[in-house]
Amino acid sequence: MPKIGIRFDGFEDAPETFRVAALAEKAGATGLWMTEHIGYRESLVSCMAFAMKTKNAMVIPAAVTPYLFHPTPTAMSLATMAEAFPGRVGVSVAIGNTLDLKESGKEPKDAVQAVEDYVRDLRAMWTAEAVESETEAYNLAGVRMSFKTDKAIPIYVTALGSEVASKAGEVADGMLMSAGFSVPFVENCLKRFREGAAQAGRDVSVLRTAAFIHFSVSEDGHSAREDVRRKLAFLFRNRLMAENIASSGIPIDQDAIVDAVAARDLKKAATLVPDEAIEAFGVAGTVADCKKSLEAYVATGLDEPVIQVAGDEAAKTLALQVIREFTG
Amino acid sequence: MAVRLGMRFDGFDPVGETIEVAAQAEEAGADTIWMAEHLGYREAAVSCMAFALKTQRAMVIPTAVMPYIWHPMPTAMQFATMAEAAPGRVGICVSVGNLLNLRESGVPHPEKPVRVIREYVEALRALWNGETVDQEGLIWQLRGARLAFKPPKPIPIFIASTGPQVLGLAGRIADGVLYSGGLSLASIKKCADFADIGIAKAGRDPSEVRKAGFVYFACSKNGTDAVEANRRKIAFLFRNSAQADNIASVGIPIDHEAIIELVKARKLDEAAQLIPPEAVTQFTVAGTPDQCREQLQAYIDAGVEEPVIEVSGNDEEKALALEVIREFTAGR
Repeated sequence: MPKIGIRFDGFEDAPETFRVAALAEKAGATGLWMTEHIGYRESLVSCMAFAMKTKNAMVIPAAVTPYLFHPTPTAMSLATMAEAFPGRVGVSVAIGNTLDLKESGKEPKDAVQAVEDYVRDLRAMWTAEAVESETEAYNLAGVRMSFKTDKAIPIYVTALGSEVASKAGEVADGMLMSAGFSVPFVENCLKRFREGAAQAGRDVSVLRTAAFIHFSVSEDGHSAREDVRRKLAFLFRNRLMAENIASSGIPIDQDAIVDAVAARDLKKAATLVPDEAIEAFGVAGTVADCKKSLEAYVATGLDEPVIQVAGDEAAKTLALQVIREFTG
Repeated sequence: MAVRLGMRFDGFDPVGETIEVAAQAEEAGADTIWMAEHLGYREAAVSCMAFALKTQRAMVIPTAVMPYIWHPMPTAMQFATMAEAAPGRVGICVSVGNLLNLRESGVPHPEKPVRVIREYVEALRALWNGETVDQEGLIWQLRGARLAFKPPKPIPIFIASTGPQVLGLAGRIADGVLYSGGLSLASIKKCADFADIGIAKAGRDPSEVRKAGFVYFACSKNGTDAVEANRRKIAFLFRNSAQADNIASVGIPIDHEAIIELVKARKLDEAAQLIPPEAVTQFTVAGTPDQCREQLQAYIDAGVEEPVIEVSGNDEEKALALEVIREFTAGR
């Protein structure tokens, strides 16, 4: 059965996300990813709730940033969840959105190194050995966990571009591609991921790949496309999306989008996303349209496309139908 | 202020077990469920989310979030998310934290705790109020940070400490004060005085500030097993050099330095052997059910409006502890 994950963006209230998580698992979803959008619902406690409301699905906070989440409580949180739900907990690590980090008083200097340090230190802590580490974001001076989990917690690195994709192949258990990547850009990142793994002498067959895909479905297809337009506007507030945007060749005024989102004017930001961008960077339309577009992503060699079950009740019902049809 | 009864977990036991015990404790009558944030053990916030989903009415309170390693933004998000899932049932307790553990996590000298905790409490409250927050704090800086959603009901903030300055701050600004576990009755009274000074200084009504206290608790049929169980917990507590005054308050010779070194080396059983058995009931509630009820009342008489006890040990000991909760909360 093909794998498919669903993700939450933290925009909806917590009880609704718990309800949808349970419905998605019943429809066939194998992964429940909770985005860590700074200012919205928090991913670690949300994932604990998802695990409690479901039976088998993997829960994955995505993405935890080393600049705001000290590794000691983060390692503890994830180990606690993994102890309660063995083999069902993962994590994705990323630098985070630069605008959000700035508002939280953080301006990263060497983002790729910071992610590599964090992956190494989380893994080291889960061995219950004493950990020493000096990094840009934090220091550890002999910290040690007092309990271990029976099953490993896979660490994904969230890639917003090809450089980090390569680093993910070198150091992580998996790569999560950020939302809004076009199919050709996914192919490029998978290639770089495999190259990174090969250069580090790693067995790529045991590594995992997933991609957030901006997704919306409706009976007529039109309202779904408008929904994805709004999501892309929020996504493109991130300066690190410039490589993906440029690779599409579509003229998009990213500076204006960044300014509009900073002013919390999502409506204005959405008007700056052209129609052709919706087709290039998301999966939107009818159930049949969406299934076909998802298959194009999986044809790149991607293990787990990750979609959203969002919108009104009718849209959510249709999204669950897409999951059921996709997983057969 | 009406007396409430809480229960707490220390993170030493597997989380699946604590979730089940939390539900049983609520059924027995516990009003609050507190989860200690001991660095290296089970984490409090995710545990409390599980407790909240597994119970119906009890308030859950991660204790204590340390401002030196928890950035206020994700902390505000985390607690607001929990509060949305369980409206009116989520609190937070803030404290400096254990000095040894902080050092191991890269904070060798937690400077200016009164300022740091005050800034942290102000930041959390402003974020939960939906404000755009600018704060050039000593540890964290917020430059236009804002939550996109608000918790549906207020999240009470407790401050935990044994020191006069931080307890005074708690009296001035917090919704509650939490006395640490393992304090002697003399230490409790001293702490209450410090908090009262802050309350008076701020011109607040004392009823605005709830006074809760962790009380190390173990109950067994013979009483002896309970005393032994608490020796280990007291040894772990005494890893903290700031416990010196509390230890001195009971007048029993205890080799504090040796305990610190043994706990640092993760030799908890050996550290426990350095606690004289007669010291255990000076710092904890331990004994038969009748002895436990009597000792618990002594803490209430000393000014603890909400004793927060543990339900731990083997199945029989847990059942006895739940029975104490039932009897204590019956008829309210």
